[in-house]
Amino acid sequence: MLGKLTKFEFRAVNKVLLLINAFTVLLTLIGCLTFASPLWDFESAYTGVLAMSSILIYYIAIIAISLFCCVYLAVRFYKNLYTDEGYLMHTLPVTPRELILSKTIAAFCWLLITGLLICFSVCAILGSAYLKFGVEEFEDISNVFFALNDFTKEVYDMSLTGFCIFMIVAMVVGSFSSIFMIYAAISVGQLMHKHKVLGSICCYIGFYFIQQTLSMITMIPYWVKIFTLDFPEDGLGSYMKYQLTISIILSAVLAVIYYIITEYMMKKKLNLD
Amino acid sequence: MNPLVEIKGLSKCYEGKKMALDNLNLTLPRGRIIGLLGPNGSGKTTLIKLMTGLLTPTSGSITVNGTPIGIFTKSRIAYLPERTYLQSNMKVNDMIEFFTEFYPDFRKEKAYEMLNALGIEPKASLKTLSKGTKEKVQLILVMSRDADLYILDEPIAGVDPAARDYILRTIISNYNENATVLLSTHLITDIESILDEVVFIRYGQLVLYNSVDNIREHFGKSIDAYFREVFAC
Repeated sequence: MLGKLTKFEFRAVNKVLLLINAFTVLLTLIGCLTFASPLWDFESAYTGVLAMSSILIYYIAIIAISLFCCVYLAVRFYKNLYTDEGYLMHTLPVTPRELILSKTIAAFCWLLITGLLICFSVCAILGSAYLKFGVEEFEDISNVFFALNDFTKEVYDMSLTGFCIFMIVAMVVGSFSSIFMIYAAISVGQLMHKHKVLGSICCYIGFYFIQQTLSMITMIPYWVKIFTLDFPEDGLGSYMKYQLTISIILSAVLAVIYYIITEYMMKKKLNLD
Repeated sequence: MNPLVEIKGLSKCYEGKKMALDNLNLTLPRGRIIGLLGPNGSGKTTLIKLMTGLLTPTSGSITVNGTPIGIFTKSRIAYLPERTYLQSNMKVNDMIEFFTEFYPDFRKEKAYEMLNALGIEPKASLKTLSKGTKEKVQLILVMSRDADLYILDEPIAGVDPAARDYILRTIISNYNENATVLLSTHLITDIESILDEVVFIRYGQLVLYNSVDNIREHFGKSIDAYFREVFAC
């Protein structure tokens, strides 16, 4: 039944999310074309302002797109399972686990697509800016990678490849953790009979606060080490590496806890109007 | 033949509130149309939600076909809630596909036949339909199943009188001798003619469970008149 549920879940969300991702592609194309245009060849006092405002608008648009995807998926989860539609979904011959997983699979796939598309968009725009203006020392493209490699070595104590793998793992774990955090917040929030949406938002803020606090607590041993001993010999790199590793582990643990909360609420504390 | 539904010592207490159901014992046979009647807040909807697995009991048990409430019972119960559960971004035929996929006992042809009889366009988008038409679509979806137990919560409340007759005829003609229809309503006069038995509940407790013929014979009254007498304010 998980396959069938997932199929219908994709069918329900595909249209809107395809449109929003098409908007990212459109935005990227406009960005790249802007850089390719002769607009920048004219020396003017306004060129700098124009460049800055374009970058700002692009940045806001990208943030808005990712935020929209998360909110849309959260609303879909809430509406489909905790409003009137829940009367159909919860009386299907399926388990709460299958309901949650079908929505998680669709949400994860779409968040991944959106995330990758945004990465691609940023790279494409940086690429077109590079082609237009060039940077002397990066004339040879391989120098860009060497510079990046040096940067990750210095800041994260990792090679560029290692850093990329680390970031991919962090993104995957982080996505699941974010999805389950939203699901858990909605599942607990629906207990507030008259104010389910408000309850969900409050729970989300609460969970976020707890997560941040836990994240701070996990850093304490390292800070103690820094302050009691001398600054570590390997510098900032080891700290950043430690922080990234801990945050991945914390995300994974929280993802499991959020999932357990969601399933428990759906099994035992369903509160449809 | 073993009973279809067995309810033993069933209680449900919502947090911080009084008992919605209080030690209810009830056994429902197969092949009957049973009215679940009671004033507002008597526990009808709570009982239905417990039977469909939307709520978990505080204590007691319910079995359908000898099985506790779970995936198996959900596959054998056709439930029509009071609410409109259709997804507005779907079309009528999408919902038929949805039911075909999830319920092996769903009869697609029967659904299309009923849609046609009630003049509902299968390609119509659900968001364009009126509330009454949506209710008809829901009832068609539920009655097109070949289930063991049909639980209908206020099935005729929101539809016009002409459609009401069709719906009642549909209910009578669509269930087989092994299936039971449990029907909750406050429009007793409209459905009295199709009922075999009635269950009266009040304050979450069973007041009476008897056949319609027995009530008429013993009390010399219609179910509606008897209901008014029992639940007089």
